[in-house]
Amino acid sequence: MTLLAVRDLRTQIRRGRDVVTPVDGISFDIAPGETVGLVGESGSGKTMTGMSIMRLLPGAGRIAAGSVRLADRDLASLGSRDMRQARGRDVAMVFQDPMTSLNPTITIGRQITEAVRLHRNVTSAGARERALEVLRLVGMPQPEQRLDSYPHELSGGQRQRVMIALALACEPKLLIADEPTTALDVTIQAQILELLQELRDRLGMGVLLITHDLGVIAGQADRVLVMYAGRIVESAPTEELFARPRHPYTEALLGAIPRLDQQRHEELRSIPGLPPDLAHPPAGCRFAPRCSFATDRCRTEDPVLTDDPDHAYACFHPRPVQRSAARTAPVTAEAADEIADGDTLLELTDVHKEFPIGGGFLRRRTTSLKAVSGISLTVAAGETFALVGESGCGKSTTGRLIVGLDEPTQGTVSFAGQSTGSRRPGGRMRPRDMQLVFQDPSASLDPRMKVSASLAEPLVLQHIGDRRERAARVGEMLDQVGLSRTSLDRYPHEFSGGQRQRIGLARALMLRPRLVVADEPVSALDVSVQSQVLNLMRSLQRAMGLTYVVISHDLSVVKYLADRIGVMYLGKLVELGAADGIYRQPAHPYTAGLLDAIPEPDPVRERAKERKPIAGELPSAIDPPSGCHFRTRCPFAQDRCAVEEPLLRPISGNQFAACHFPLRTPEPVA
Amino acid sequence: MTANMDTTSNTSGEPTIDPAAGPLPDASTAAVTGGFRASATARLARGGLISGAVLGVLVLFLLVIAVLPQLIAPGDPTASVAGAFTAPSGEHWFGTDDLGRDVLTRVVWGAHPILLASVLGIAIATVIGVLLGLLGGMTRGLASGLVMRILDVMLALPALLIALMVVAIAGNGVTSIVIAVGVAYIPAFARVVYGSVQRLRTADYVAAARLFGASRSRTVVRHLVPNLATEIAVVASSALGWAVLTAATLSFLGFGVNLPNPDWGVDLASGGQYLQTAWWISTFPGLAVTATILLSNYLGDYVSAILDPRRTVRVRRPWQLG
Repeated sequence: MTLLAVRDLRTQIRRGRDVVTPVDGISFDIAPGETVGLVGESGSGKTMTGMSIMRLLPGAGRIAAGSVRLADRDLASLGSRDMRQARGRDVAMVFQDPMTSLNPTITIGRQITEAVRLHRNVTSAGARERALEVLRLVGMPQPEQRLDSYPHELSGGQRQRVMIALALACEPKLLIADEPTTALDVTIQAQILELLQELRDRLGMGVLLITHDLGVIAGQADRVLVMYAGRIVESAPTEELFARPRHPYTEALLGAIPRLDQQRHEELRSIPGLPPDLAHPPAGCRFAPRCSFATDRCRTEDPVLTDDPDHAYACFHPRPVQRSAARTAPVTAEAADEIADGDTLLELTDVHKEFPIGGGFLRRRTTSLKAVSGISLTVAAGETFALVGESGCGKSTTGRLIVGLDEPTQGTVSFAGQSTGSRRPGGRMRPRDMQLVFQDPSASLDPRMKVSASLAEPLVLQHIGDRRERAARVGEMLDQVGLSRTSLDRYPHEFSGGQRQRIGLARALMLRPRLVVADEPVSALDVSVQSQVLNLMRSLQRAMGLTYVVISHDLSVVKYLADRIGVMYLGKLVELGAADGIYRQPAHPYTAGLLDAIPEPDPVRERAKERKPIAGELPSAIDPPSGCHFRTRCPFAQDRCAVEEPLLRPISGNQFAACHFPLRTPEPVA
Repeated sequence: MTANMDTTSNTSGEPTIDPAAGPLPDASTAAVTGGFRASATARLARGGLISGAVLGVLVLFLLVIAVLPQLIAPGDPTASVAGAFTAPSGEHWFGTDDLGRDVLTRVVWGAHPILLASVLGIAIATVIGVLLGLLGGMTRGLASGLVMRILDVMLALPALLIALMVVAIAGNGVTSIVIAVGVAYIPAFARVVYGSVQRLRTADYVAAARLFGASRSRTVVRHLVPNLATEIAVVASSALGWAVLTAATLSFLGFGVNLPNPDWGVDLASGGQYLQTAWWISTFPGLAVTATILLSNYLGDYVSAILDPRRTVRVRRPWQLG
């Protein structure tokens, strides 16, 4: 039985003089109780597919052809009044960002009751009853009080729960979830995904899960549709698709993700080029320009999706059925306790950073936010050290303290044996030695400066070379990061995200620094581009002898880059040690929980996992819990944890953890 | 906006989406329509080519009147050329005033003081306002706090009141009107710049410049001012209309040019007593002020349309009132 049957759906959007076709003749089915995953890079048309089903297209958009049959009604040709009724009652949608999708001026309760009363003939008391019921259903803590809360009073995870509650208020038959967990931390993501799965089973809904994250797909979806440039290029049951991808695009996407079980020093696969402009798609196979297996036939003839209902693909040269060796390679233990042999380059000693809250001109300073409270660590020359943790744990602040954008409230940062805190206030920093690569390259490049000027600026500021020498160095650096010299005369907005991040890297390296702090260097990028930048970072490290401090929430990315890892929780390091050791045998319950929460792009392992996600959410850094900060969410917490603050102590070799009851028994001190 | 709720926010029946709800496929970075480097014609086209041409001609005309009034009206604005209170006719299009002077000639010559005062005044306000805004935005502590609180106080008072206080101190004459208009519009610029600096100061590219060893003043010159230029130009062109009104009001109240020299405000005031019998004496200077203010407002709209790449809505044509 099918719940939703989409046939030859084509959606078009007017853009100036062009007509873009973000969804170009796609067909698929969803059965009741089934989760169908829709994956693809940004711009592949996956969000527009969801919007087309909901008929929520932007003003210039329209459904040009095809049908969307939901339980014997064609949503594509429904009148707008009937469609309004169908939305919410028959089909509902959960968006990526719950902050912008909820009305900030109306209480949660009223937003839900409004949805209920639109579709059901109930009294206001009855609607409130129903609102309470759905809030309980989505696992909202203290639902009675929450009814009267405004969206800003809730955390990100709670807001997403409200969004789901809203979508489910009238028990739709089909739920479209568009990147429902992308804006959330990995621990919260695990909670929300579990909730979605549980609700689907309980209510027997069909779910269309739109995401770029193959890990999420692996754990959630029964079947997967891979979308590229407005077309479905491959469709198969999840396990089949991950085990035996046939379309080169799917294969490349799977190869581009850093995996937890991947051997380090293995290059990630990347997909060259960019998706085509959907106003003028190329003739023939749309993936051909980026495909390494493309032949002349691919460039002239458009491949159609094969008929096989179990595994359909649109390719003339499908990949042979085989399992790639790399994915089954066992995790070896020998590299575990490898220690970088360089001298200590960077040392943080008991570093604190507090930000005053309130205060300012003629106002009383009330309290302060303890972003970093007592971090000590060393980074050796030539190694890659990674700081990981949920958002709000203080990892970005630590990065800013290292490069000197902020001054520590207490403690010292020293670089190559010299304290950086000793510089005169307001004086120049150490631009030659330390640099920062920012998360969002579109924000870190001056929009009004040409690339040539942006790249030359560090040299100008440091009075290095004359005009010609500078131009020569800028050119060399562009070669090194793999950009053509025609980029020089262009402005940042003319580049794609990945190219901009290359420019950001190039600028950071202009002064040949010894240490580069990279703050979420790839989190704003698509998977295929992410792997290019990660590979580039690695090859630059080898070529220039760089030391990296990588800050990231993505433990798979960290696993790929880092030699050593520091796990932060609420301003403190809770675990520190060699990356391999920590991934293999975490000692701190928080680290273990974080690792457990990462969705792995492997359906077999992902389903076999017995999830015990970290409960609750990050407490406030203004008033952190006493004793061990993590005790409020820790499954092993005991009375002692509330009283006594655990200190970082050796667990084995060079692995340290701050826990009274570590998951690994500490080795006796020799 | 959620799917279930869009029924309430949507009266037209055609569904719309919250732009923040999800990235649209046409938001591709490489295909930004008209960035900062859009060609000159593309920029002008954003504001509307015909509007641009019409505005250009009108602004040019006004400039000629202000600088070389004798080209348009060769007569002497202070000379008596006919009997008093002659109604508008083929010979004297705007009629004559109480002393038999040609009103058209006086309106043409009277543009100079008002336009001088408002253009120079806005220039002063721009320079000082931008500097104060940068000072307030880039420094912290007492200096910034004091500057911004004083500006807040000034913003709480109507610009005209501030201008009147300045004139009361500086005395009569065109120079003091220039100063008065300048001082009165400082807070508008300072506040806009201050707000933008607050936002830009924490921008990653400013932090990046600091990391390369850029001094504060260099950061301001190289990174902040270019990124503020659009906003400043937009504020300046829209403030011009208000400045014309303020300058005309001050001279209407008798703080500017002394009779018998021509001036829109002065003539408006002196013709007021004959409104019942000779409406043309004050009506035409009044219309001149109105037309100039309207022109300034459309100029403001146009400038913001061509400078702001995100703005795609075309400006209203001058004849599309309301």
